Amino acid sequence: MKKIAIYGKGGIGKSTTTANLAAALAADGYKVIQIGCDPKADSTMNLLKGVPVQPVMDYYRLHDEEPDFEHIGREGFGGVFCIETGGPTPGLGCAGRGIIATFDLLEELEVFERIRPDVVLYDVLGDVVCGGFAAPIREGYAEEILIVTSGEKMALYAADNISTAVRNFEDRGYAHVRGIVLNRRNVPDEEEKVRSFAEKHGFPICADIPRSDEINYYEDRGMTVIEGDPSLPVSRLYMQLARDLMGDEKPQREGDHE
Amino acid sequence: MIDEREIKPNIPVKIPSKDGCEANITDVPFPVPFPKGLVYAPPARGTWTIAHSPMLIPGCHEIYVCCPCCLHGVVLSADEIPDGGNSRFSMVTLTNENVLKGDLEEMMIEGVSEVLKGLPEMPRLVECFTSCVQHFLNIDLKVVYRALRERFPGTDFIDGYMIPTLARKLTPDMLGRRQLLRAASMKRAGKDETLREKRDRAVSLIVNYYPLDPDSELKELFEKEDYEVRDFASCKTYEDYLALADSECALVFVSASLPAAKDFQKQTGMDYLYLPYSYSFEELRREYQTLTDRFGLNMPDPEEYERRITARAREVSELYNGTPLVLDYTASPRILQMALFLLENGFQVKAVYTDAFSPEEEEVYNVLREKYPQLLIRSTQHFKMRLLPRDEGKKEKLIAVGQKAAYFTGTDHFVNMIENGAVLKGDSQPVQLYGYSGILHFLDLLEEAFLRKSDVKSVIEVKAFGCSGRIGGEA
Amino acid sequence: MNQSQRVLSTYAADLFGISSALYELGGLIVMHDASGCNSTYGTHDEPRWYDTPSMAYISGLNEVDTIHGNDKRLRDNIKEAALEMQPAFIAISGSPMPNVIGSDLKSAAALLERETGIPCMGFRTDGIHTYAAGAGEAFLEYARRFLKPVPEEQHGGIRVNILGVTPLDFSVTGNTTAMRKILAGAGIELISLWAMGSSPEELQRAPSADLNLVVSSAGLSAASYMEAEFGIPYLCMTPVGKSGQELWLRLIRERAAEGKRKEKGKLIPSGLYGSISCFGMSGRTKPEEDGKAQVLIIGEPLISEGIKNCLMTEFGIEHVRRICPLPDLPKEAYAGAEIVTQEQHLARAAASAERVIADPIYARLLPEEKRKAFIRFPHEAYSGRHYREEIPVFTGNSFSEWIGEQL
Repeated sequence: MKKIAIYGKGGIGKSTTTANLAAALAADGYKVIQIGCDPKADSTMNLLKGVPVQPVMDYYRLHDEEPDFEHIGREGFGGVFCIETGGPTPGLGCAGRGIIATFDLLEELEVFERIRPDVVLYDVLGDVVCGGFAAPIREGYAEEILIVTSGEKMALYAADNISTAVRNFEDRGYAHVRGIVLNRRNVPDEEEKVRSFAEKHGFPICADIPRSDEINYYEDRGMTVIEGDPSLPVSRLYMQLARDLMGDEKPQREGDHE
Repeated sequence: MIDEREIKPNIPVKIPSKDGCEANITDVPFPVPFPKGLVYAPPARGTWTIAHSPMLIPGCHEIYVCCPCCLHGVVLSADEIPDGGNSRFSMVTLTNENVLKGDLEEMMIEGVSEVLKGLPEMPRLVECFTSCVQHFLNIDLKVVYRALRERFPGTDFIDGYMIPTLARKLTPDMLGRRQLLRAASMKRAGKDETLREKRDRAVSLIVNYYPLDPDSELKELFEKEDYEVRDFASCKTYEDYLALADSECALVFVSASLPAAKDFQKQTGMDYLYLPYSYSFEELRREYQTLTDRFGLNMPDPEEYERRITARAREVSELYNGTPLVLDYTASPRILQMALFLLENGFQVKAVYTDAFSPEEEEVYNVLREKYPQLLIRSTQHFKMRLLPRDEGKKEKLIAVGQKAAYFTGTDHFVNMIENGAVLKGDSQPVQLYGYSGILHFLDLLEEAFLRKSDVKSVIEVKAFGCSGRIGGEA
Repeated sequence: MNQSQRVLSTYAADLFGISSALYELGGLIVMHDASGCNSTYGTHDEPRWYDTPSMAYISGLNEVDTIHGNDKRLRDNIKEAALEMQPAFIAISGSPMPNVIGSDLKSAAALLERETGIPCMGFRTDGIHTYAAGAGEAFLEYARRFLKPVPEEQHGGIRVNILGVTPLDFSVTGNTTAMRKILAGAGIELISLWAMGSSPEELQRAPSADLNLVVSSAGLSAASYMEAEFGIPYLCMTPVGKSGQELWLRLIRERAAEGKRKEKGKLIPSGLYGSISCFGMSGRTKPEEDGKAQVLIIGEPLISEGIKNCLMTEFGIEHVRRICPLPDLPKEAYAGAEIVTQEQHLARAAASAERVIADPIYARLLPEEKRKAFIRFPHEAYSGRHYREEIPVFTGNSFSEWIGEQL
């Protein structure tokens, strides 16, 4: 089982990247779980035809008890199992604890054992803030991190913060950075800026996604581009990213059939 | 017969050196003698706890709103208070759910309401305590108490705090004392101006946990001049407590009560005088001078008192005949002064247990360094103190003043003194020893401790004098 | 949900359970909290505190460290103490504040282990779970870290370990002595008793046992670990009273005769990581209809099961109801006990029963006139040392006589 956490500045396209990556992996036959770790709970929307899954924390708030397996998430495009941690009412409580609590629940309900995914993707809010937001990269969770950034100054700044945090965690056996996903915003010298950032940290650029109206077009329809039109050039970029990340690892389900 | 392994298990530990937790006074810095690391909490607590002190206000009901681990200690401390301490204590348990949901205000309002509705009688005063976690998550207490006051208009509320992690300017003890007066000061502040201007011919002793010794010359002096002495620690009714805010002036004996006095002054305009417990003739003279100037009292004859004290001290020190004494900081806020007094009067003070010196004792610290450089300073909470043998008092006769000193030396001879309070011979309740009569009583206690053994363990395992303080009066 | 308690107490919290379980094993045990808070452990809940030194400390956490999630000072202080005292291991448990900010004490422990070379365990306690969940976790972790397979050797007789013993459930009033005597009297060899009165070396010989005897819920996780890892089966029962003692010995012989297991079992997690760890002790379970129980027992579920069996077999009492106010134990521990944590539900249950056996603090749930029907059975984890002198020896024969007098 491969577990990858996707971090980046808020609004930079983490959820888009994660959902498209999940869809691409699913299209290749992999069983994927995507977990949105953000109180906004909008990570998996475009895998679900725009009908959001009920976040675990919302369920809890409404029912005063934790969801059972049937209510923890829902399957979306390509069988991607979608989970959103959600969070407390904005301005109250502790969002980081919401993530930790959800992870505990996944463990208790044996969600991974039951679904037996090939890949788990954690889509994590912005910069690393409290301990809860680092939970996805603790031992036993994600082993690899993708940082999504554009060439915008603030996005790179956030990326730098994230890599610093990750470096601080190195001696604790937390996840390491697999590489950068450049999500273009068409700022001047974008590629050069991101490339020099990547080189400075020794991170490879795993994917270079151009700004694309097709992504917006299909998102308006509650879809990823992979679902909308897998033949598009941008879809093929996500497919390539998925293949690069998986390397030789084959989907388990194929093995099951043989 | 119970198996030895059950009651005295053999635990593999290595006895450490004394470096870092014991040194001559000349070798320790002021005001923090030892570096702070892992903290050992010895079973001898000595001082009062946050659960005990509100019980001194008649008719006060305590409600703790905290996590179970914080609650466990206070509920068991309250439970130890005889005569129904437990019936004046309730709690609302904070859980992870509240942290997640962020419904901290709502859970507190509803939980406290639930407790109050279920009580056989609505208390006059409720002190609610919130804990570190709620404050870390920025609970809005204004919302909470506004709602509670609206729901229960006949009851006063005090916002209590149990937030040791967040202690900054005020220690938990200082903050606790300050809040204890809040209901009285709010009542007075709420009165109209003409009523507020009128003050009673009285002084209020704030905030001490034991009543002033009735034999004290201080009391006598005030009463001779028709001043009523109102004592926080001996209020019999809730009205007595409220009346603390109507006196002319407040008297403060311990520095930990100074923030309370300052706050009282701010809220009610009442002056205060700080008259620390003292073992210095010079300082006592100054204190009495201040009092006579302020209230027109007749100054007691200091020379007569000093002569009596010196004679009595000689008598007791001759009995001691060089027997060593060890003191700890819980016995008196002026522990170095006490040590100096004893040393100058022929006693052999071997060591003082403390983890911090009072800023007020810097001068005494310097005198001790110069005149008695052999005096040992010992930590009570350094991690090594857990493992160092506690058998000094078994090897030689040794008298301890204070519960921690008794615990660490293993002696059977000790003066059970807490914050300058003690139970005097023939009494059952502790009183606070102030002034000249206080020192004379202290010398009596030293004599008694020399002559008689006590069952140290059973005495000090229970916090705060076996909770035999006058608890609650007649509510 | 009603979270208020007008008259009741709380159980010792998870981090006290950790300290209590590991107390005698020569480790450096640190509760990550401000000083003061958890001195309760020493002043109320730990009967060994006064006379038997063990390296249990408080870290002295402050606000700045909490905000920054800084555990460097914690690690430095631990290193300083460890260097001086050379403990056999280091255990760090968290309190409410580290819990709220999501501190990762497991990784801090891993780091410390690398820095000191001393085995180091981090526990994700929160000061909200109960002592039993904490003690269960501590025994499990100790077993994981220190038990190595032992070569099979031929031996006559039966070898056992007793698991799940701390003074929080068993006090120091003779309960472990009685259990030792029962086994010795029946010629059963006790390898180790987890963890009172057994040396670390004895504990580390545990894998050579034929059978594990779980006598409180705190022993379940370690027992299931040893079953999974070493094939040692376990028997889950507290031997209460004469009948309990007889049944215990009979079952020990039967189960030991079945031999060790070949297949790997499934590990029972302790309560700390269960669902309730997400959401605290809401006490969501609804109590049963308050029928007419002849006797209601409130307390630790294995011990209450033992008492129930004794009452039924020896005293012919038919309807005994068991309530466990600890909501975070491994499921197997409850064995039919209802989980009830809220005061008003407990009060109703107590009022509807003819007799109640529970810690004296629960008597406050009853109106004065009904307190005659209350049998005081103090529980150290609940009322600390307050009623220790009244705690009977409930393991073995003598309980029958004691309860006979009370009934």
